[in-house]
Amino acid sequence: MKPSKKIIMFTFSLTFVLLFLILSSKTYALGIVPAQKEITLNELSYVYDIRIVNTEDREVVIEMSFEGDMNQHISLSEKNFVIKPNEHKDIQVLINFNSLEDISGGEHVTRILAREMGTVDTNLIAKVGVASKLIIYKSEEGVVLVPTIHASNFIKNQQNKFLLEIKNKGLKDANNVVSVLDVYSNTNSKVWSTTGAPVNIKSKETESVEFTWIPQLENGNYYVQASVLYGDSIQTTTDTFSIGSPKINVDSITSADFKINKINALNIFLSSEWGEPINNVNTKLELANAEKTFFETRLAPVNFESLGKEVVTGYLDTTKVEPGRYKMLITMEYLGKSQLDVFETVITTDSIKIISTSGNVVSEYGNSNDTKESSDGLSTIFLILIIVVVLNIVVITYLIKSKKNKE
Amino acid sequence: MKSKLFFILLILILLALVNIVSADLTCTITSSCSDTVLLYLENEIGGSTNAHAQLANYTPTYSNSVCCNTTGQSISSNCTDGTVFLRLSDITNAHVQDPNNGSLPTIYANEACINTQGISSCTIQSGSCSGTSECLASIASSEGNDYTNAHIGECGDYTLQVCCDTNSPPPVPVPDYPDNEDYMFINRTPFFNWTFAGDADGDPVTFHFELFSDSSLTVIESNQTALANLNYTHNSILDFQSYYWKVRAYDGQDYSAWSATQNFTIQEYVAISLLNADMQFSTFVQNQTDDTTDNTPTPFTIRSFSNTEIDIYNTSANESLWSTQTLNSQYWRIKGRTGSNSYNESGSITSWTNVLSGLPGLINRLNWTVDRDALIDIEVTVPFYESPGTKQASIIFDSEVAS
Repeated sequence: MKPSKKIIMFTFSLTFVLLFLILSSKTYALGIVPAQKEITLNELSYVYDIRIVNTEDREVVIEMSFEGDMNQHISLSEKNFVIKPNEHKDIQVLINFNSLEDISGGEHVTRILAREMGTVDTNLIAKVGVASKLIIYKSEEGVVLVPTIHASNFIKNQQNKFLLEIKNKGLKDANNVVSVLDVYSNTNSKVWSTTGAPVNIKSKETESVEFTWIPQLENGNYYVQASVLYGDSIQTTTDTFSIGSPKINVDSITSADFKINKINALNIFLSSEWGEPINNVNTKLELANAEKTFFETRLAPVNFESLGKEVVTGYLDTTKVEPGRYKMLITMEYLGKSQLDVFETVITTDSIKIISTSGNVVSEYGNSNDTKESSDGLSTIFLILIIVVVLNIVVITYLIKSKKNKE
Repeated sequence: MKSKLFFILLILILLALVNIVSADLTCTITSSCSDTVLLYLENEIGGSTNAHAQLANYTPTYSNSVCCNTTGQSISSNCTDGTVFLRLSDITNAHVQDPNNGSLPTIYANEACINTQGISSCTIQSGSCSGTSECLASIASSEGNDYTNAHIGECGDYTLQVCCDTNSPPPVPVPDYPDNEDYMFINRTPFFNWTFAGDADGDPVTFHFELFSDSSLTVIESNQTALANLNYTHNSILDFQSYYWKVRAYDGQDYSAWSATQNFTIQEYVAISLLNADMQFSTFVQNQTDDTTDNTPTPFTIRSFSNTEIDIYNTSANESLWSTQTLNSQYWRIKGRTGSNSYNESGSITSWTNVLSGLPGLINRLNWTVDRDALIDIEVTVPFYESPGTKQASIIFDSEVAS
């Protein structure tokens, strides 16, 4: 990956220099507290404090900003300020509404973000930001339902469960709350839908609804949306999940005219079990025994379509390989993971036999066995031919003799 | 003359020391008691030597009394919760006996008591009362066993003296940290400390600490007795809520009153730091790619100093590194490094992803206790038509409480 010093010098002299620098030498830490604040609306205005903490031995310049749908209702006592080393700054958050009727029911999340904008003595390029989440709940008839759907990674053709948690952040109990679950593929096609049993949720309490599902779909990424219906309000929550995990199989390996002491092309036939494209699959091919690795090569990257099949070609140099038993290691790197497949490999002077760990022969190419079988076949044909010729000679001789005798 | 003055000064110092160690109880036998009478006594001629005894609540009273006072404490002869210092053969005109000797042939039924805070026991001792003991009277008998059927006298009259051990309860500790009503407290395993003025008697003192999770002090989180130091660290992790605590001292005999109840509120705290802020790649040519996966240059290390799991929910660059490429190109990519167990890898971006003006969800659930570093790898590829020169850009990692 890294160019050698020689290469660097060479490129310096012949082409040009790109010097890439993206950070200053300063480190710093920022903190914010409370990092989360929940308010259930029943008044037109609220005030509370947040604290920005500077744990470094130098001054920091802070700029505050908002992210979220309540920005127009929120203001801060200060938005730009300096915090001295190892000190903190308390600022007031002011929330004002002209009318609560303007606010839609449910959960509203706003982030109050503190970022360092540089320092007094340096021109800082990289930064961190810390956000305090302000969660405002607006009730419908005194009820605020906040659903959260949990979906773990599922297994195809097995029973799996979604768990829907519904919190009632309101001041009144919610009765007869209905939940609808919809599962979508990565192309936004709805692949499953179901309705949960109605539940009653007391004020400030949480109820859970389980949904059991046996997915009979291709492995891949999906997402689930749960809709919680109460009166005229609908609250939704989504989560992504996967069925199975990305997997690429080595189906077979072919090598035409394999010979030792030469470079042999190995065609590796791969297939993806993943229902989404897998790009940039890097493959490494190694031939080794218990003592050492005889050969190692990286193959060209390949991209897979959803459930696609691809062939990658490796060139196995056997000039330093003696006939014998080896292991062929095929390492594939994709989607941030590394997959290793190991094959028992038997090499003769003119053949290669590759056996998967399950004992299946995935490849058997060359002349050693074929030659023997072929020579056996030739011998038989030759023998039959001789017998036929001999028989013909005998018959012809007999016929000639018989004719002569008659004459 | 000088030696006499020195001797008097020495006596005064010794008396002062005696007063310090003998604490608050002071008793005398007097015919004019202005304090609390614990027992009356009188002989045939109205004196207080070789006298008979009378309970304090009897009238008409004898002319002499065991007269006691304490500073800052109430004192009485009430036997309810009091300490018996003598038994009397009758309520008046009585002989006395040692109250603690159960082997005597006859146990007198009438008890003379001292009732005040700080009295641990009263015993009959041969010779002067020692240490923190205060002498109330002395007793002697003409019947051979001085411990019963005895007459009573002033402390200096007889060998056997009625001695009551006195003790001053320790002062109330003063809570110091966490600050009372700190509603932005962030340490979930708090260190508590308090100050203490010292025990007046010089007794070794331990402390009793209580931590509650409700303001009515009914749900106890921690109950620590016999703490030897002026602090306590709560090692199990506390929740995000208000807590209440108080402390009192114990000198082996008495507890102080409880300190004023303190409260603090633990809030969620998000704090991150970039440990290595330098990232400098070397000389490049067109189409050349380099990354930090081999630790050269070192990847960004984000360390959480938070008190809860956090997300790096947004990673943003203000502009592209390259003049010939915009953001969201394969020429500048980023990913979280796997294998550290410091964050939830399945919910994070762990394969090369183009740097954007706002890339959501880079790191999910970064730990806050151990393994709290997230390594962020960067990959750069020089576009073919990029002009030479130094290239800079800024990248921002925004964090929040994990969803």
